[in-house]
Amino acid sequence: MHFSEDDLRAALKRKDPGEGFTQRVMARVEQAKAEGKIKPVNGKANRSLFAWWKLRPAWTFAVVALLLLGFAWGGYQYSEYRHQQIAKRERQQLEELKKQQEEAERARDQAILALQIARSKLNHVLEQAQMPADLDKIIRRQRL
Amino acid sequence: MNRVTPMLMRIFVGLALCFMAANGYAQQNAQPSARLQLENLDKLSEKASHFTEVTLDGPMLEMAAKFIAMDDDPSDADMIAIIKNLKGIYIKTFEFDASNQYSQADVEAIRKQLAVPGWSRIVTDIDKRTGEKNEIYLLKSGDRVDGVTILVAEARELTVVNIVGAVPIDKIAKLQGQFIHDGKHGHKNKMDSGKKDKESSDEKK
Amino acid sequence: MEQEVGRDVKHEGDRLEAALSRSAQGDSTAFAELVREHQGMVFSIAYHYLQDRSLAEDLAQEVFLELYQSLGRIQSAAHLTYWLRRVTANRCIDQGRKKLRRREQALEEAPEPAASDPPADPLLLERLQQSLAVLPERQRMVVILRFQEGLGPAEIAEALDMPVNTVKSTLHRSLEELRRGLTRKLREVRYAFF
Repeated sequence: MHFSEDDLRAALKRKDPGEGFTQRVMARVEQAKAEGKIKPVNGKANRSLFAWWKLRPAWTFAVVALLLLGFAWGGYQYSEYRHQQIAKRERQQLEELKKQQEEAERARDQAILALQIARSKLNHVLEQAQMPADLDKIIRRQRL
Repeated sequence: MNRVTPMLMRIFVGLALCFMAANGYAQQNAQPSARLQLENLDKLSEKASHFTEVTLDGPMLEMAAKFIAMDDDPSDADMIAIIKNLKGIYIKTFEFDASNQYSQADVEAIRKQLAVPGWSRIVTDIDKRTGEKNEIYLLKSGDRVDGVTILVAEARELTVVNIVGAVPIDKIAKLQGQFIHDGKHGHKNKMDSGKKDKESSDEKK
Repeated sequence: MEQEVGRDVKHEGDRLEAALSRSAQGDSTAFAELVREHQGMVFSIAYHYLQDRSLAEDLAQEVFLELYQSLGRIQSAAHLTYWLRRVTANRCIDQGRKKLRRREQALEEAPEPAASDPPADPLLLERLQQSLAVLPERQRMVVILRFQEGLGPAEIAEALDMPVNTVKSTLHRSLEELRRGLTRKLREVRYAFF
């Protein structure tokens, strides 16, 4: 036997639960409340957190604005901190370089002084010994 | 068992002889230290009217050579060439207001280090009247000079100059005249003790 | 005319939104209004699935009780309709599993005629309902949501947490089974007479 979709729709047409259904539902709700099975509804407790923004758009915008300000402020502070760190690091590097330069200068001065003394003492000894300043000859003589 | 013991003894004695020979050989051929120990002279700084000490080891000499080279002055080329080959320069020089401010034992302690094989004295100047003795020592390894020590022991001065490394001693002597004035490199002679040199060594001659 | 209809629909929507909002604040009268608005849909789904009036009413009451506790989560009138269908369908399937049997209705227990126009062939409709009762759970609910509520495959898929293609194939299979079931019933009737 054939049937059409309309036949199905007709067979599945909505039916009314009958007189007093709403009252029965309300009575059941009150009974459940009295028995403590359900809590009474109040606007604040049961409202979904995520639907909140629909009810209080002004508040939501205020919160979002505050959050954005907070992030911006935090970002600025972090940026400042980073700059300070970089400046501190650069200062330290400069001090390090300055220290190295001073050390190098001191080394140079010492080296020059050392050679001065060495040269003068060397020549002093040679002069006292009335020897020529040609050390190559002296050294070669030593070999022989 | 009886045959094994004498054999073991022979092996043991042979090994001992080899070890001793090797040790002797090693000692004989051990390179004497080019760097002298001069700490015994430190006590003389209290009596000295002028005291100069220079201690420059390898890294410091390297730094000095680089820094001098930065001036880009052609006249520094010889100095840089000398410094680059050195491993260390150690100088102690004491000037006294009076004679006999240091003992011969102080100097002998230095000479003892120069009496080992390897070091040879190439110049000696002795003043028999005053007992002053000036010497130049070289530490050689074949044809290579590995160290120089200049010892000036005079009545009112004691100086030890110990240079370690491939020392171009002839070049050092010829550096004369290149130290035009103290201010050449924009510095004054500085001493580690903190006392300033009042006169340069040239003027003493 | 169309404009009037449009205005009426909008007015209706606003009324329901307002009722929903007041219900969430604890207004019982507003909640009762919501119950009245949707009782037909909820009861019908339960009745066509369970094929038992008292069970269907019981289930419908439980659905509205659950709605009362979940008012804070309902975001709009459209969401409410979706929520009621989904909860009713799932409760029906759970209830059906608990029963673990499908009984065929006797003629005496035939459902009351709908308030609207009488069907062209009451016997056919009756047989259809009986055949529906023996369909497996998900197939039955898919047919009910499709032909009672007029939902598309995507909406049915969302309500029953099924893939869309599965809904389509289930619908196709269900209709085939309904036809086979109907033919079998007619044969049984013929055999009963002879």
